[in-house]
Amino acid sequence: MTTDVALLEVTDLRVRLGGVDVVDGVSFALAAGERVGLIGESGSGKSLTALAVLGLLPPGARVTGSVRLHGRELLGGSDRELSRLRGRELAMIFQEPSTALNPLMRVGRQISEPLRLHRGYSRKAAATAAVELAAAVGLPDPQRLVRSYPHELSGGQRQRVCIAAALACRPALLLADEPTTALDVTVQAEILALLGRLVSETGTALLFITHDLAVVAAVTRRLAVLRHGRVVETGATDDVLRAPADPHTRELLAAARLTQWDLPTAGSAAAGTSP
Amino acid sequence: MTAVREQAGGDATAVGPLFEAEGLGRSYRLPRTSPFGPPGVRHAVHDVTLRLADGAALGIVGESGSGKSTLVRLLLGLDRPDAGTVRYRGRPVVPGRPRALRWFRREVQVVFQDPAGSLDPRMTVGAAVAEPLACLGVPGDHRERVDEVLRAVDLDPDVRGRYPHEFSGGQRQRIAIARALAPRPRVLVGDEPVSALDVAVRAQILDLLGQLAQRHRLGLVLVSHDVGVVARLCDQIAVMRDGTLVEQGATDAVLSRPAHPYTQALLAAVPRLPPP
Repeated sequence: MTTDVALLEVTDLRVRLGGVDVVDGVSFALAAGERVGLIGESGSGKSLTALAVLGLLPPGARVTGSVRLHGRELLGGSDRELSRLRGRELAMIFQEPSTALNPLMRVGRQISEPLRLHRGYSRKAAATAAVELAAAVGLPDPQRLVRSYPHELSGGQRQRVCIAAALACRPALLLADEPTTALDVTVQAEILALLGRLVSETGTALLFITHDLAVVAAVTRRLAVLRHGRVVETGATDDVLRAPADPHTRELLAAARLTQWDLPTAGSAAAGTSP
Repeated sequence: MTAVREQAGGDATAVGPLFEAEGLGRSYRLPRTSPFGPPGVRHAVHDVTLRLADGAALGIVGESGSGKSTLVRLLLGLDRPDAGTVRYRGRPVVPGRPRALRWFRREVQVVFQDPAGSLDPRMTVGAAVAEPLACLGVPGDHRERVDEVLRAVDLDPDVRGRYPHEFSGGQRQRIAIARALAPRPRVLVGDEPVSALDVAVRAQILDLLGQLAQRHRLGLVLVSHDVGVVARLCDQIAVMRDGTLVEQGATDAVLSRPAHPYTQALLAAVPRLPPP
């Protein structure tokens, strides 16, 4: 427990909601800088697992098990303790960037909010940082853009804003819950490429939650397949997608392959595949 | 599959394509940017020409805002084009009084994205599936037809007394498909019919649509943002962007040799699974 401490270690996590174990004994670990996918269909418990890590479960949910970050237990921590971690050590981006952002706050302030809260940036320093961060996530005309409101941006631009805010404090772990599901494919490819580049630059570990096996293949090295709140298979992404061991994974994969048409020639690699 | 269809089929082949859209356009006014300025105009659909042959399957792909749904509304006679025409078996399709398009509705039915939204929660499955039969004045034993189409979509006819909320998303989409099939249409239009479903269920519904189209020689118009869905079911593909069709042709040809830069970008953006 000295050198080999995982960045995030989830052990036998259970979330009970309305008398049902919607997360039913989930265990997995992430090393620093690692990219892991959590996949499953709707209702498999993947989002609740992420929310449990962040301490953001809906009221009435009962959690047991253990969630350790740098070896420190997070479950049962007070809201104040968790608030100190969220946005600094742990960050999250969601499927719907439009609802994740405050419609009444200029995007620049939202991007730099974590810096003001956790790093004590002055208003002025935060404003400068917001422009830099907006540029880093590829937003056009960052000087002007930071002064606009979320509704003035496209869906892809809003997700870039969320990514900028999430990575502002260079968190150790970014949880991304279906971050490209609401976006068009061409925008999805851009966002996946951006996310891949930024997490390697900042050394942030990524827990990527999705129902889309092709997307998980583009982003992660390892994955865990969830079903009915349980992990049914784990392994290297390539191995699992080439030769799934679990029947449920096989079924998901067969279904996903149905809508993959044959590529005409080798060499035309898909955009959005991260380096 | 029925005498009615055989009979109708005879003269249709002589007429040529089922659907013909010529130079179709529909624009919307945008709010004025200044109090005295002219209102802006958005061309949701601009100069679209396409054809659907009897029994063929046409897929229309495009990203959000490309005008796919407006195009579907025009093809279905739910909206009036401000340029061009839609013809079905040679007759113009123009929105008007509901009765005026009865002949067309019997032949062209639609399945939408969200089965929860397209089924009345207070109506039993049996009543929902029978509704188009009554509305369109389809002759014959409606009860029998309801059982027949429920079986066709692999549902037990005994579900007719139950309500939509008792079913899963995939089953609800089956009910919506059964309802669309009830009047024995010649063409089924699907506007993102599988987009709200989980992968495994999506695959089942796609297979079902393919089987039904083949068994009943249905023409298909399938609108989707997902190239893979269209590639699975359609022999013709039309790629839409900013209201215009940038490319159309045989699915295999377009997917293996996309000519338009936008089609190339769209195909390259679709994430791929590693080969098995």
